[in-house]
Amino acid sequence: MIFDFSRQGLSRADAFLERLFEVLPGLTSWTVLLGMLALSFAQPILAAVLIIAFDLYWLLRLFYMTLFLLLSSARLSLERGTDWMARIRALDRWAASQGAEPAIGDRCATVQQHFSGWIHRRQLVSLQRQAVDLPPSTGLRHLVMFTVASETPEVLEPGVVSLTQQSFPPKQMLIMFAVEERAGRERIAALRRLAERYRAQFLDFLVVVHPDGLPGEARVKGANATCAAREAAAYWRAHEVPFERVIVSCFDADTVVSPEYFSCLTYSFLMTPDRTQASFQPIPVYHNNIWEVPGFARVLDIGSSFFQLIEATNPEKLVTFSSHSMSFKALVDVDYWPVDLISEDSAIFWKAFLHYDGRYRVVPMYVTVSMDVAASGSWWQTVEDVYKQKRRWAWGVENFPIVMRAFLKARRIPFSAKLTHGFKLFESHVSWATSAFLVSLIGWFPAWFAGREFSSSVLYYSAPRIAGVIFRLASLALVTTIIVSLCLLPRPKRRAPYALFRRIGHAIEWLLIPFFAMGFSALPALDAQTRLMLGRYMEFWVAGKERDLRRRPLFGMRKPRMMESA
Amino acid sequence: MRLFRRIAFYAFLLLYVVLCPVTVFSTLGYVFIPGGQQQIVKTGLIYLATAPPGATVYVGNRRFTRQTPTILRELQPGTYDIRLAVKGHRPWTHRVPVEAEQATVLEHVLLLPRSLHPVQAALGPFENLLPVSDKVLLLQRGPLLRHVTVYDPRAEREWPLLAPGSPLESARLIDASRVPDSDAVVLEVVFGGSERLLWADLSGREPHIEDLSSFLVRRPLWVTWDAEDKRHVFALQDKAIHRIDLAARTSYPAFVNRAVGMGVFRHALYVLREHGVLERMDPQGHSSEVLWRNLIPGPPPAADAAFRVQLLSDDTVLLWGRRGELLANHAPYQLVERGVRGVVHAPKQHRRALVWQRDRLGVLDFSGAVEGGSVEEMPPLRWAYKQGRDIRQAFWMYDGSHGLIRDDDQVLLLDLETYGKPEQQLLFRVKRHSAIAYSEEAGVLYYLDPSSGSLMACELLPKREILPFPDRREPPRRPTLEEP
Repeated sequence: MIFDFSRQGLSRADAFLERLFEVLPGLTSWTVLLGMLALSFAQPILAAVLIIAFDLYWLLRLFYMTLFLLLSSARLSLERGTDWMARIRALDRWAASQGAEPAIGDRCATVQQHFSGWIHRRQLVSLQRQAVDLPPSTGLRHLVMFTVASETPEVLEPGVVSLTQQSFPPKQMLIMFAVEERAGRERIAALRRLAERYRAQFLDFLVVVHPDGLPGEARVKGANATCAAREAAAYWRAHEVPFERVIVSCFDADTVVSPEYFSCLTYSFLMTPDRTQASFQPIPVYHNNIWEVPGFARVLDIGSSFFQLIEATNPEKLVTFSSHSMSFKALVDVDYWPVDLISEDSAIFWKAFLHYDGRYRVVPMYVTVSMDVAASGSWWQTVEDVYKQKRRWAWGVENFPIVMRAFLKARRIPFSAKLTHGFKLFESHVSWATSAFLVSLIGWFPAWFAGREFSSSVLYYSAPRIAGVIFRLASLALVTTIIVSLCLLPRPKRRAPYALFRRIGHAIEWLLIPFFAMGFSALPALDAQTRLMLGRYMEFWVAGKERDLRRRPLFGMRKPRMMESA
Repeated sequence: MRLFRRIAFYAFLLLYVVLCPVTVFSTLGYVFIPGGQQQIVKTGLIYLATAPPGATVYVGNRRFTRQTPTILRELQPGTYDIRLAVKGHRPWTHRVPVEAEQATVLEHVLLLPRSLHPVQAALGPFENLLPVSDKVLLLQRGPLLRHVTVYDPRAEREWPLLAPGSPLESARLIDASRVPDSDAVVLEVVFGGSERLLWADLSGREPHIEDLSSFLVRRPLWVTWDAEDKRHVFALQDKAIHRIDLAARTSYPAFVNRAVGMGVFRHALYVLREHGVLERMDPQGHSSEVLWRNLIPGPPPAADAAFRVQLLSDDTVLLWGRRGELLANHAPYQLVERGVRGVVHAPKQHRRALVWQRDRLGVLDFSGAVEGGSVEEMPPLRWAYKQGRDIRQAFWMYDGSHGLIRDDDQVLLLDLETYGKPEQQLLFRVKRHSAIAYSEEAGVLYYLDPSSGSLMACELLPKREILPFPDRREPPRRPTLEEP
């Protein structure tokens, strides 16, 4: 369907709908929280019953998620030894042989490799059944974009170096620095020098400067990336490279990819039947500075990685997040990223989903991209940075009203798909803002503020026992999470003193997760939803007729770096 | 993975659909009775906590596996014979009712040792003791002030009230006025042929004594002060309130007029006017605010009327008159016509007080009235002990669950947290006409031994646990007192 994925320039009816759906998540979250608070005073018995029902739901959901965290992390470990390039070469040979039996490609020496090979074989058989056309990998090109707001070359260089170390030939990669004009001439010049230094190792290395304050754009990453992508489109046209043979990866400035990333991406691209209608989502990890940041920031970002690991097991409902890749053709078809939304990472998925009438999906990749944990020098500054980063993530709720408006108009998208996606989008945001408060704080209110009637009831004496059992069972999930966390985390640097103690300390940090979850997950989410509900948008909108940028503050985005960090 | 995920989802969903109602209904007290009955019944529970903890619980003749504090769950409605026993202590046996979906709460069961073992705290003989606060007592070896010593129960030390060579040595002690939680006391003495009021601050090792008589024209009907503010003393006299500023050594005579009662709480002065209007003001008499009107029924009080104003809570006030009348601002307003000898507010519990006359003691509880219970169903004052001979003192004990009474020369313990008739136990006989002191904080009773006159101390409450279970902000449904 043709749909303008924006909240600007709406008709009165659309503006009303947009506003209605903007209010809905925040209103629901506040109703849940305040309603439970009021019930705790007015109807404590009913409140306690609801809390028990919710705690039980939360426990089962926790177990459910832990189960898939284990499976997903096992799959990630399984694929660590996979020789993706060998598989790509085998696919190339299979495509060239026309009709021969597909070969696995890489060797299967270990149990993990055997298992990985088994999965690969199943996919090959499926591919064979569907008679999917396999383009040769040598004909594919990668466009790798780093969006830069004001980051220094020192921040970007590790990411560029990681590209030179790819098992996939770097000569098939076009690298691009998408730089904001407001970064300043000196910074842009420094980035050009960096590009020049590495240009010879790639197909090409371009620096595209995004002019500041273009009409119709907000100061968001999507506008910068779109500007660069348009330049890239011109480049591919000039070099006669069809867009369906180009895979674009849009990375944050601090992204460092694992050496197998582009091999795995190419493999996933080739193995996906409708590959031009798919995004490819790696597992984002925050290992670049994981041992240099305060404990709460470490636990929170590992938690985010775990969430993505769990989501990866549910590709039907997976939505792109942070650094990811997609077909360049799809990007051009949907008219690039939204230029007025902050959450461009998820918005691009919804744009494509709507454009292709629901025939667009996200393919999970069991390979990691590593980024920085948001952290500044001081502890308190890190608190502020982490809070704002989580609020920006939670600002993804801005997609909800637009998606819902589109769903109301989309006739070709199946109702079940609209229902499941719409409900998940809504429920995940409301749950994000309320669950931690309900479980850790509000759940205790009926007992804390018990009046005479409630404190004389059987429920008053039974509820703590039930809650105790639920939390003891929940601690099993926590212990599992701690073990997975310790297994997946990189070791502290060898010379770092007390490395073992740091790992033990990290395990203990997890015990504070109820407080971290309230302060740095639920609260920022509630903050973001409240802002959306009140129409206090987290962006700097450049009006079409006005270009006076100095007089309007960058709301909630005091630091440009925060805007860009994932 | 997709299939597995779907199976797992439906399995968890099914688990929730089954577990949730089962858990909720079992938490509400519903249980399934298998066997012949095959039915779901609503049950209740009994919560039991004792001091000392660790009592063995017997339900009928069957021994319960867990010790106190504990909860007896899934009890069908009815009555249960509960016995609690701790080695070396007197057993506790009661018939306890259980209602469906209700908790019967007995969280202050006090199990006294089979034989109490008082220890001699100070060698007598003493004629009397005057309780002042948890920190100090006054001990009287003779009628004069030089015979009075201050006793610190915590440090177990005793020292003279007067400094050596004090001109007040020959003053004869007649009476003493005290305020709860204050380390100061006002002593009424006869000195040089005239009656005098002495302010004695006993908080330091050297008592500070101030003669209040020089600030007052005549003997007041009553004096009081704020336990947290020892600077101002208020005296009620001739329908006027006089303020004495001890720090500035200045008096403010009749700074409030047309007053027939007063009380001081939380840095505020409460004044009862002639026409039954209760006002709150600051200690300087400013910022007056009318709280209630028409508190005194009938004609205006006599000239010598004096009411002590006591606040049971922010919205419950008691007026205790000189003739022993007791009034309240809630129905039935006039609680006792005459003869009330004492009123003690329950610590940490709103709207409850012990009230006693010469021969009976009752529990005043306005919590039901304020929550909407009618006076007919739940009269606020219920007499729990009616066989008194000469009740002189009463104390709340064990978080308001028990009463400690000095009736003539007997000290009695009254169990008020019971679903049957309140039971009393004789604890000690004390020296006739001597007072007793009780420290709730330490759980220790002080009295004078009838034979030797020495000060005796007896621990009635074992040391408290640091984290009581379950923690509650408001008391549960209280057992209904059955009048004996």
